[in-house]
Amino acid sequence: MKEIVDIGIGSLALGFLLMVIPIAGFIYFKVKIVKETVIALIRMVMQLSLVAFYLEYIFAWNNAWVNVIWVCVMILVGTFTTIKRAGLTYRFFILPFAISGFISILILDAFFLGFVIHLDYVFDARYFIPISGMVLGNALNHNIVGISNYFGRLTKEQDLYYFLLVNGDSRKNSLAPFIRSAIKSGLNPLIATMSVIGLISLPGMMTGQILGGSSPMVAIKYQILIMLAIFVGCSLNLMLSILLANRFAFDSFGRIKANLFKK
Amino acid sequence: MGNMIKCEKINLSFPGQLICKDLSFEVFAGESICFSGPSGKGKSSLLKVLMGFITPQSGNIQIDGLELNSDTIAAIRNKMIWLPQNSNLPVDSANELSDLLQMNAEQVERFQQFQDQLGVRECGFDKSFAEISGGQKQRIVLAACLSLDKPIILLDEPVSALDDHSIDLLFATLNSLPDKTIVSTSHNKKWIDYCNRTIEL
Repeated sequence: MKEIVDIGIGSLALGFLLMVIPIAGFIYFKVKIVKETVIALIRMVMQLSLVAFYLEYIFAWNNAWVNVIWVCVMILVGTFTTIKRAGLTYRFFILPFAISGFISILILDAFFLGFVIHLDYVFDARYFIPISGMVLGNALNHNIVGISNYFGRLTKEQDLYYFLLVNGDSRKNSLAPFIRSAIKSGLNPLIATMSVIGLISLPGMMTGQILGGSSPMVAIKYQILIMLAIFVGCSLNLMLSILLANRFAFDSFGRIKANLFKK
Repeated sequence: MGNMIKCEKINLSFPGQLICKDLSFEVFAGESICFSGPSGKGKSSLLKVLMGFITPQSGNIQIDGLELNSDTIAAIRNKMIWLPQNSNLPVDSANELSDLLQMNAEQVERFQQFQDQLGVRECGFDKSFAEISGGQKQRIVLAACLSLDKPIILLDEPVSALDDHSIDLLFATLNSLPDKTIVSTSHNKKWIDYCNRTIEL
């Protein structure tokens, strides 16, 4: 198997030259996202450099507790990011979103790493951390879309919710149209991605594995599994997030709490 | 005839606005009452109090023998239907409405009958609400609510978008349901005259 060609720091820096194109476009069209783009780039470089640094240690150490704590940190960061991006208030949503993330990862890792791949050591950092990260990273994006849709519509169309609450036969049914819409909006992009994967997109994990020296067949099998894990993880996380958040977002009379969104 | 709704010493106010002070009233089964008064006086808010959407500062509310609180609210709502003001719901057809209300076959059949009685049969189930008038939409929503066959009917400004002929059809429809208890809000004279009693706010 061929050794992967390492990228020198100079070559890596050279890659940044390409950023001139989008930034020139932003300036030309007066799109005010240059500052945000530069900040995001700096954050990406710093975060990934840090990740590389501590993953070296975490992989070398390969201790179950450290790995579990690391995944829990990822779940918490995902929770805070979802709440912030959806514009919600922290106090109602930290617990339900964190629990949803934790349950989703627990089920997925146990199933895929334990039953499907048959790892002897499920908490092996080389599998446990990247696969949890892939699932959580994707779940984050889709959760933000689904959760924003759910609470946004529920607040904007609360007349419909209250109408169904009185005229319908249960609170569950009065929330059903909002839950359906949230799940659709959250998962539709993922269904679209899944249906064209390999045709117009080569997923990052597969590309990484091939670059890392794996055979395309092995890389594809992993990719299929990871897509399944991502889809199940995103669906599970979104549905659980909504169901658990419902316990905090309504009062005992079924009324939508007034301060769900950050002012 | 027993009372269906009993309110005792209801005090309700919003910042800078007093809605009612020590308001007590009873509504008997089969009776129709109307909260009347100028716009912005809180007529709709009183209906929302009965549905548990607004909690008054003080007072007791009993509906069909149940004290209104968080434990009984689901059972109380199951005894009610509510036609909101303007029926400005984000719903596009009678079909969608029956889906949202998860109507069974019997309720769908009654829905059609009430559409007939209220003079909106020609709108059918599939016609988009964007193609019909506000009054027609309001009558379709009312037909859907009535088909659920619950004992208490809450109507918020039921005739605000209706012409005289449609109001007569509404009276005829409600007259065919003598055992229902109706609580409404309106400042329409024809409607006020139709109701058994009026509570002025």
